[in-house]
Amino acid sequence: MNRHGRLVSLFAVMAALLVVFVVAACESDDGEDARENTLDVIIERGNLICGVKADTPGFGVLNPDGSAEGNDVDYCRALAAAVFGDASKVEFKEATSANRFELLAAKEIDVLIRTTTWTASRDADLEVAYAPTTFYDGAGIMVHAGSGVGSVNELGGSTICILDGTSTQGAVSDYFAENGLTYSELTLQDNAAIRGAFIGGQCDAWSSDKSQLGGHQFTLKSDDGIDAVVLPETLSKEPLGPSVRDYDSEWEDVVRWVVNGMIIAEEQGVTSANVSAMAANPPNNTVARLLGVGFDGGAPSNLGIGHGKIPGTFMQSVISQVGNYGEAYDATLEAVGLTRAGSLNDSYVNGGLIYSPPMR
Amino acid sequence: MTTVTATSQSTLAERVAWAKANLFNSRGNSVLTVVSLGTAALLIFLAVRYVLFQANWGLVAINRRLFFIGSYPPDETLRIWIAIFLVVGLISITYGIWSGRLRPYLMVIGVIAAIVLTLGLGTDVRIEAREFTDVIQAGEQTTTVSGINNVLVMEQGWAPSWLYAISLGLAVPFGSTWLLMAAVFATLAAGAWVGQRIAPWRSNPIMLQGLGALWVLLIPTIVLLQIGVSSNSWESAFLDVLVFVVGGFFSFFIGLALALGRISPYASIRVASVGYIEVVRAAPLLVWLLFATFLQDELGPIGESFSSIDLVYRVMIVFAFFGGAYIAEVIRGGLQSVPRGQWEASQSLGLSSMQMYALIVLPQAIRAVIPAIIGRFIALWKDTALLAAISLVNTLEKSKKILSGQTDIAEGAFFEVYIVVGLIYWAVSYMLSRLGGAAEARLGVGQRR
Amino acid sequence: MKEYLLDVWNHSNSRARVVNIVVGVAAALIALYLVYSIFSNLFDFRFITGPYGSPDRSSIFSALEVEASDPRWLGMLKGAGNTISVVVFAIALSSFLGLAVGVARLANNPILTRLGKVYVETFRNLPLLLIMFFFAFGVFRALPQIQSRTGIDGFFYVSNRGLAIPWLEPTHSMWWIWPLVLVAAAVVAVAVRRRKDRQEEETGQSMRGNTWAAGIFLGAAVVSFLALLLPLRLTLPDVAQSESGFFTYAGGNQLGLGYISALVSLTLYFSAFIAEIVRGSIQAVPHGQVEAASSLGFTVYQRFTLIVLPQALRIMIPALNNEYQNANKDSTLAHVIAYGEIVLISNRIVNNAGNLLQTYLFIFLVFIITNLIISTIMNTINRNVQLK
Repeated sequence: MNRHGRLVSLFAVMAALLVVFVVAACESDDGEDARENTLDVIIERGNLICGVKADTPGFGVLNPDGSAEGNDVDYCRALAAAVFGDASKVEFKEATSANRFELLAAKEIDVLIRTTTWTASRDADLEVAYAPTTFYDGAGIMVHAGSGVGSVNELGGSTICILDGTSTQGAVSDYFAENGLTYSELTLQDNAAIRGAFIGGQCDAWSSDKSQLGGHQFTLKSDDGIDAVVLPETLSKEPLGPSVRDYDSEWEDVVRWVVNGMIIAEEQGVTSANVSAMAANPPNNTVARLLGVGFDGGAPSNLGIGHGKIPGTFMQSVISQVGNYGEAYDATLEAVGLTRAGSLNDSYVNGGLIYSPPMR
Repeated sequence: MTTVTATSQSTLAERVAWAKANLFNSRGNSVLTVVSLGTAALLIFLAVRYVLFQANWGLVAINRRLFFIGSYPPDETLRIWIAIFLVVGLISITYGIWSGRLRPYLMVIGVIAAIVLTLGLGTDVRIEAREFTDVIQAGEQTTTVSGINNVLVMEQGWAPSWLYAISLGLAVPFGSTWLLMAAVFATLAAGAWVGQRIAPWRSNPIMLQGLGALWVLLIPTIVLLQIGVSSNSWESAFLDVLVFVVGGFFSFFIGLALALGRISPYASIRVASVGYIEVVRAAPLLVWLLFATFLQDELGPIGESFSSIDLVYRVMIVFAFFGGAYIAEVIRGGLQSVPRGQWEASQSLGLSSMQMYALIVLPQAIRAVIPAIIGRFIALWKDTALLAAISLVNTLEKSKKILSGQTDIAEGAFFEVYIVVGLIYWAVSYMLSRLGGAAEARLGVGQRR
Repeated sequence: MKEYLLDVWNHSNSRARVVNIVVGVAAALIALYLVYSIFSNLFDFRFITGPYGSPDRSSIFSALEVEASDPRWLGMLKGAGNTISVVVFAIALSSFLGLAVGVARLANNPILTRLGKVYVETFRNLPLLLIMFFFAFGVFRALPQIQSRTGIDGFFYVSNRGLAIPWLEPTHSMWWIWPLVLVAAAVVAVAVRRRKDRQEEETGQSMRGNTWAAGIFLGAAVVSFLALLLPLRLTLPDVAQSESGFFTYAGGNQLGLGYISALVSLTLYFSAFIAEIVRGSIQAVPHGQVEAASSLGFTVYQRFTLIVLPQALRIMIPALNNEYQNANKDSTLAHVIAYGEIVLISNRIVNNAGNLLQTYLFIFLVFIITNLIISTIMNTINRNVQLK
C-alpha cells in the first residue's frame, strides 16, 4: 500500500465505522413516525416507559439496583399488565419535579405517574391530559417535633424546604401571604437533598404534599431516629393522578379506564385472589363487563377500549397481577402510615371521593 | 532551583545539609516550610483519620456493582467482561512491546492480585430488613410509625473495612466471580509477556499497522458488543466510559476534518468550518445536551428524526460534535506550528495536496499537539459527569440515587459516596494526564528552549 | 464529456468555483432550513409576557430575585444577571488563588511545591459537577447550624444556611446614579493620567499622573456621595429569632447554598487551571531576565513584580481569556445545585410553557454576549501589556 493510499484508506475505515455506529444507533432506534399514537408505539416497542418518582416512600422509590416500589409504580405495572398481560413489561424512568413535563413532551416517557397535581394551567398550557385522580392530597408542612410548633400559623420567620418546580411552592406562598406571615424558601432539586437539609437544620420546615410528608416522617424516624410532625393545616387541593400527552386519546382511554377499572373492582369486591373465580363465574353484569367476560353464558360485551389493540379481558391481568384500587393502596400507602379509612381517598361508599364512572 | 537530591543512602548529616539548603535557607523560607509542613501534616492526619476510623466503607462495598455498571442485566455482564479483557490485553501487549523491564511490572501485578484476591475472604457485608415500630411524640399529638427498616451488617474478616472495600471494589465490581478477576490479572501478565516476545519486531510496519488497527477497531468492538442490550441499562461508570470512548473517538476525526476545513483553499469550506466551530463553542456543553434531550419537532423532520434516536446515542453525537469543535482548534494550532518551509518544500517536490497533508504536514502538526489533544480528551472525560444533569444514570447520578434511595443505610454518607465517585473520575483523568505528560516529554514539545 | 469534467476538476480555478458553489449552496440550504424552522416556531413570543410562576431567591442581589409575578422575560434577564454575578466573582477569586498556587509551585521550597502540585492535580482531574455536588450536599451540610452564631459576631456568620456578610444598602431610589458617577470619574481619571504621562515623556518633568488620577477619582467619589445624600449605607448581619423561635439572618446579605457552592467550586476548579497557566508563563520568561534583575540589585519581590510578572502576563493572557470564557460557560452547571442562573430559570420556563427554541436561543445570546465582553476586556489588556 503506498503512503498516499493510507490516508484514503484511513478515511474509508472511518466512514465504514461511522456506518457501523449509525447502524448500531438505529438498531435500537424507535424509528416510528412521531405522529403515531402512543399505544401503537408501546405495543411495538414491547414495553411501557413510565416516568415515576425516585425517592418518595409510598409513591415511587427507584432502588439503586433497578427495582421499584410504590403506589405510582403499581399503576405503571397495571398499565403494562393491561397492554401486555404482563405487569413486568415496564421500564421506570426517574422524572424529577423540574423535568417531568419536558420528559413527557419529548416522548422520553409514555405516561407520567409521579404525584402530579392536576391544575388548569398544566392541562391547558402544557398540553397534558389527566387520567382520573388516584390520590386526593393537599400540601402540608412538617417540622421537627422538638420545635414545639403546633400550627402553620406559628411558622412566621422560618425557613421552609420545598421541591423545585412543584405546585407546593405556589400553595405555601399563597397561604403565607394570606395569613400575613413571612418565610424564607430553600428550593432543592430532589427529596434526598431536602431530607438532608431538614435533618441538618438548613431549613426549619419541609413542605410537600401531606401524603409524601407521611412517608418521609416514617423514614426519618426509622432510619435516623428523628422525630418530625406533620402540622394539621392543609394548604391546598392536590389531586394526583397519571398524565399523558394531549391529542393521544386512544392511549389516554387505556390509562383512564385501567384506573377506573381498579376502582370499580374494589367497589365490586374483585381482588387479585378471587379474580379468576369471578371471571369464570361473574356474580353480576358489572363484574362481567369489567373482566371482559359474558354474564350468565352470554357473549362478552365489547367496550372498545384501545380499539382492539389490547384484549377485552385486560382488567383480569391488571387485577390478578396488581390488584384493585384498595389492594394497591394497602400494599404501598398504608404501609407508610397513610390511613385510608375516613380520608378523602376512601371509596365514595364510605364517604370518600374515590368514585368511578360506570364501565359499560 | 537548587535541589540537592536526598536519596535513601544519604547519611543523616547529608539530609540535614539538604534540609538547610532547601528548607531553612532564609527566614522567609523557614516560615514557608513550617506552614506548609503543618498544612500537609493536618491534611494527612484528617485523611488517615477519616479513612481508617470515620468512614462507613461497608456502604461502598455493598454498592460496588452499582458504582461500576449500575443495573446492567446480570446475565449479560459477560459482554462487559469481554470488553475488559480486550482492553486489558491490548494495553498489556502494548506496554510489553515498549517497556524494557518486565519483572517489576509482573511483581506489582502479582502483589495487587494477591491482595485483591485474598482480602475479601472471611468478610461479608449484607443488608438485613428489620421490622420497625415507634411512636413520635410532639406535644399532645402522638403518631405511630411502623414498617420495614434496612440495616447494613458487616462481618469483618481480618482486613480493615477500607482495605476490604478497595479490594472488593477492584475485585468483583460486577458482583461476579473471583475467577474472572484472577483471569484479568493473568491477562495483564500474559499480555506483557507476549508483548516482550514480539518486541524485536516493533519497528516492523506491518506489526505497527496491525497494532494500530487493533486499537482503532477496539472502540467499535466495544460498542458492537452492546448490541442487543437496551441502551437504557447502560449505567454508572460503564456509561461514562462508553460515551467518552465513542464521543472522543469520533470527535478526533470531526476535529481533524474541521481543522483542515479551516485552512482549505475553498472559501466556502473555510467559512462553513469557522462558522460551525464558533457556534458550537459559543454555548456550554450542558446547554447542547439539554437541547438534544428536550428537542422534539421544533426543527421540523430533522429534529423529529434526531429525537427518535435513543438518548444515549444522541448524547454521544453531541459529545462527538462538541469535542470536535475544540479539537479542531487544537489541531489548527498544530498546523500553524508547521514551518512554512515544509509546505513550500513539499509543493516544490510536486506532491499532491493530499500527499502533502498525509505525509508532511499532518504528522508534524498532530505530533506537536498530542499533549493538547489529550488535554481535550481529559476535558471530554470529565464532561461525561454532565450526563447526570440530563437524567442519564452515570456514575455521579448513580451516587445520588444511592444516597437518596438508601436513606436507611446511606443517610449522610455523602463523603464516602462522592469520594468513590471522585476517585473513578480522577483516576481516569490522572492517567490520561500522565499519558499527556509522557507524550510531551517524549516528543520534546512544550519544553523550555 | 467525462474528459471535460475531469478538465474542470483538474483546473484549479474552475475546481474552486465548483467546490465553492456546491458547499456554499449546501451550507446555505442547511442554514435556511434551520432559520426557517426556528422562525416558524419562534414567531410566537407571547409566552414571554406570561407570569414566571414560582419565586427564586437564590440570588445575592435582592434586585435579581425572581418573583412569581414577574413576566418570563424579566425572569430570564434576572437569570442572566445571576450567572454574571457568580462568574465575575469566581473569575476574580480563581485568578488570585491561581496566581498564588502557580507561584507556590515554582517556589524554592520542595514541600510547598509539592503541596501546590497536589492541589492542582486534585482539582484539575475532577469533574466540576462533582465538586459542586460535594460542596453543596457534603461540605455545606457539615457546617454548624445557624443558632451556634459561628463567625465574627455582628460582622460575619457562617452556617449551613449560608454566609451572612456586611452589605451596602441603598437609602433612596436614586442610588444608582452614584455608581454611574464612579464609572465616569474613572474614565476621566484614566484619560488625565494618559495625558500627564505623555507630557511627562515629552518634557521629562514628573507630572504626577498617578496622583492626579487618584485625586480626581476619589474626589469625585466623595463629592458625589455627599451630593447624593449618602445613597448607600452599610448594614451588618445579625442572627435574629422569630416569635416562634426560628432563627434567621437579619441585615447584611445572605449568600445561600447554591451561590456559595457554585462560587467555591468554580473558584477551586479554575484556580487549578490558572495555576498551571501561571506556572507555564513564568517558566517561559527567559532566566537571563531574572539574573539581570538580581545583578542590578532588585529584591526577590521587585524581581517578581517588576520583571517576571509583566513578561509572564504577555504569555498568560490569551490562555486566561480562554479559561475565563470556560468559567463563564461552566457556571451553567450550578443549576443542578439549585442556583437560579440562566439555565435553571429557562428550564423552568420550558417546563411550564414549553418554548424550547426561543428560550434556548436566549441562552445562546447571553453566552455569546458575555463571552464577547470577556474577550474584549482580555484583548484590551493584552494590547496594553504587549511590547509596542
